[in-house]
Amino acid sequence: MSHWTVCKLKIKNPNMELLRKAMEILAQKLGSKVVENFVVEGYGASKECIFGIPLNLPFGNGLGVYIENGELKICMDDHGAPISVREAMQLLTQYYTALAVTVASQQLGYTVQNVRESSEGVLLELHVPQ
Amino acid sequence: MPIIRILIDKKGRITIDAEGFVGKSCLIATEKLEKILKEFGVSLNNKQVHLKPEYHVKEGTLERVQA
Repeated sequence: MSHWTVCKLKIKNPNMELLRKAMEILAQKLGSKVVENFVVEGYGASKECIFGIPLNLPFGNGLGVYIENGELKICMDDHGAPISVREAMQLLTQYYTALAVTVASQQLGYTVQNVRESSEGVLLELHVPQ
Repeated sequence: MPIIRILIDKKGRITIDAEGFVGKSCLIATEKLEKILKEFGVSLNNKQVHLKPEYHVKEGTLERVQA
């Protein structure tokens, strides 16, 4: 029997190790590194974040993530930034979920045969032992 | 070997495509995966499951036809 499933993704109470790894992938894409306990500064505001990615922005110092009521949030003054907050959240969700799928697969004894990023998103191929 | 293909798209959707399974094992395999994903804080909402034509093939039928 075979099937396919489509669902809407939501990240709540994320695993900190996976979140850091997902942030590292995003940081690499933006040509920066991950910093712990980073204070994101923007136009007239600042926010203390669990992890941050320092960026040289016209009105801010980078991007950061924090948890509010269990929900993962991103903050950045994205005016003139190379990436919008929305795009950053989309990428972070993709990377975090791909990492979670990889770890979950390993726990279940599935083999992650192929992982690639395409224009559609992140694709993973898992081989399941019979 | 049974394969699960996963696409995490830019609109925040996940598409799980299971193929090559025998019996109800496809649903069991993906449900196990979803359970662990939930432990990592990834919740899958508005779930839509589409059964492929192979889903309705009874267990053992394929082997008999191939033989």
